[in-house]
Amino acid sequence: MRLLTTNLTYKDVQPKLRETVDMLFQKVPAGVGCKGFLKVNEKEYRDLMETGSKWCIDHGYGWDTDLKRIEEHGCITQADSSKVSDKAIKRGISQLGTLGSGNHYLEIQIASSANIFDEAIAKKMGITIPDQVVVMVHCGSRGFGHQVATDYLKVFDEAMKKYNISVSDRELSCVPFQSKEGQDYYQGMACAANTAFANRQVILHRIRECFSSVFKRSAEELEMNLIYDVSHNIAKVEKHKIEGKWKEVIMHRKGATRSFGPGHDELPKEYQKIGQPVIIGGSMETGSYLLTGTQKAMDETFGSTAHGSGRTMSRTQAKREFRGDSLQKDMECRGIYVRAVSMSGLAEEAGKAYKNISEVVDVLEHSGISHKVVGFNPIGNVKG
Amino acid sequence: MKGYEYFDHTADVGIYAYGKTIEELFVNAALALSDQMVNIAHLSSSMVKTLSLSATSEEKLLYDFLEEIVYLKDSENILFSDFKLKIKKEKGHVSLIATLKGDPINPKKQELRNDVKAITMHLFTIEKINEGYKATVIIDI
Repeated sequence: MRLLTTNLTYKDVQPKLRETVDMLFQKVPAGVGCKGFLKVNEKEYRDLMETGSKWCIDHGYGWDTDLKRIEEHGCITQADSSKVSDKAIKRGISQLGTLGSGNHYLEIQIASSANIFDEAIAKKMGITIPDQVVVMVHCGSRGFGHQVATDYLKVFDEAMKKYNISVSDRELSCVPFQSKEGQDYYQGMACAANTAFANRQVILHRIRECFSSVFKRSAEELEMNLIYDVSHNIAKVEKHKIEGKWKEVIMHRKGATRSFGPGHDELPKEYQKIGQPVIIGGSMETGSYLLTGTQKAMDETFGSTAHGSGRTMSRTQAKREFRGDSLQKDMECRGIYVRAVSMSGLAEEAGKAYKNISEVVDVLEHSGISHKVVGFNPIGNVKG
Repeated sequence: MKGYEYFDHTADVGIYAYGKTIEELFVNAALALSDQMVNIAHLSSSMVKTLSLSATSEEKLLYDFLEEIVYLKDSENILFSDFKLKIKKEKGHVSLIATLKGDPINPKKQELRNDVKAITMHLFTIEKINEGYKATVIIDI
């Protein structure tokens, strides 16, 4: 997930909403078979997967200041491109700068005064004016990361016999971290994580270009600053206090997101006192939230929290209940302009197919593992 | 006997594929997968691909076969709607030779649906039923 500010308000954007969303739909391709604008050769792609967002910034796709506001500064250093297959490279190499489909999206949102829950912290993150416009992006490394996972799932499925491991669900295949297979996978997975950071980085660059073109001001003048970028399908080596002692552990966050509390040395200076920004995506109809990480999350949930609202309805059921084209029209009447590649895909993402995001966020706030700061309402959305 | 049907799975999509023979089962599973990505009625056969795969079990072979269809979608930009294949069992191995026919992805001519990310091993099975075979596959959307 990635979230950035603008210094525009709803009043500024509303008259140009269609133009902005249409341009984003064109410049940030989505859906089956979409190809990205960034053309790289295999050597460049290997460099990119080993250095993540930094590669993009070195090549002109972003600002130096972006890096400190990305989990791991946009690069897991253990990445080793020799641990990924040619198939993974062939799947991913033309997808840089693309959104994909499913629940991935690019959304223009509003932070209205009524949805500011902690004004002081919101200001520290750059949410400073009433009805301020922000942009949220949800996507990952696309086919590349999935191929890395598929490749190693097969390796692990065989290797488990050797390590005398049995699991009730083969999708949860595993091997010891310090084994050859475990280390190979970790280094390959780090390439996938870095490619996801890089993909969101080039998408951020495209968003800045689009806003700059529509609103006739530079992205710097529009204060299109990154608030934060955080992953929610990842495994990483982290230090956590367990029964009073610091231990190095492998943190798997699948459908969970990092929620580091104030004072953590991974956080940039400006977030040291408030904790890590936590981006929680809701549905395209109902809104999303910005929270912060807490000490309680460090103490009780290994610095982790929920990553989204979660579905209440399967995709098949959602398609039975909603039609993409009528949903699109209905949302437009409610002030949300949506461009989607697939109408059936749009129906699957209907707001009613998801839990109430506000209730989910309130649970996180009440349990103390994250602190609610701002709620956002969608006004424009690009989907696969 | 129906060829395939979908079943509810919270965030992903479940497929039940059927076949009187193991070959028919593989074809129907491939059609079910393709139909999630594109309206297969919109495809013709301008592109032809041949696949040769080998695995230690029929289940693993089906996994590899479906995974290859997802791979070709991203790496070569092709979606398929026509599958012909022969499966051979030998000692400790099952292999297939398949001919896949389809078209390059073209949003102007095809109703594109979900960009399938992966075939999962969650609940992945092939079972013998009275009429032949049934496969259960969950695909990651």
